[in-house]
Amino acid sequence: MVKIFDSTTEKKLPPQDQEIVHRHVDEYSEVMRAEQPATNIWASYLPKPIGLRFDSQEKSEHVLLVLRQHPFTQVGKILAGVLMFLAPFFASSVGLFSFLPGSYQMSFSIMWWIMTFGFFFSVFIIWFFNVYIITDERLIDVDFHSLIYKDIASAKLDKIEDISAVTGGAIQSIFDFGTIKVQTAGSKVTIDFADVPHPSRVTKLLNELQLEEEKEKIEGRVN
Amino acid sequence: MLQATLGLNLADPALATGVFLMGVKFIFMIGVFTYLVFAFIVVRQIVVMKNTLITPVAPLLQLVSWAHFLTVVFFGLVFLLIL
Repeated sequence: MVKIFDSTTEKKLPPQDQEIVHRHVDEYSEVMRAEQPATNIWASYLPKPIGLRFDSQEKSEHVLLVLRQHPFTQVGKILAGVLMFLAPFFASSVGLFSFLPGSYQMSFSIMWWIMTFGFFFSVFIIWFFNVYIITDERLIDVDFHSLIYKDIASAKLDKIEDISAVTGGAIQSIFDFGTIKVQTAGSKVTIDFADVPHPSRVTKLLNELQLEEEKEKIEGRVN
Repeated sequence: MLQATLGLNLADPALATGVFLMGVKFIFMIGVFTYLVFAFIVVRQIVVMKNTLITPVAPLLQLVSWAHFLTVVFFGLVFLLIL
């Protein structure tokens, strides 16, 4: 019998309407399977973070890992801030502004401490919002080099050509952090994840994601 | 020249000190105003940052940035009055 209307036949959607069916990351990633979802939003290594999103995130896209620079990279700035905090005490002990009335000296000190707080705060927010995001679709590098400079680069996982991790020196080896260089076929050739924790673990995850992306293509997992 | 123009006798130590302190206050207040602009940039930048990376702690950071800005405004006014 010739079928005129066949409800079992799947209607193919145009490519823009096709939704990719992702498996849960724990099904294919050994690295992610070993990680508990991160609840501490202040950490520098956040696997499967809870309550964290980004502006260009797609509905079907899941954040797998969020990375910040290792806290050790901020030690120099913290020390500079501590010295800034102590500077008025030093100035007072050597009588640097002793030729000025007390009200002026006090005003200088108060303003200096406010500026020290501002310095600490700006260093902190630049560190906090300067993130590297790995989703099940792409990599995103959010850079706030200073308070007035923003640079966001992203690359699809299937555009990744080469991944390398560089850990150099005693400090990086002891505290387990390093730089991951991801070469892509996109317009921005290299995406650097600078001084991130556990570089080998992140590299392994990226390899697993790449492999899964290839499997998705081969198996045609679209509905 | 100041002496000739304004008719001030800068040889008078009290007057010279007053003029000097006024100069110090002027430079200091320019510094405070410049810092106020920086504090406002921090407030605006946190809005951009929190729209880029959406986290539950962003409102707290925004609150801190506003507190920082308002502290500078408050002390700026205090310095203006007491110096």
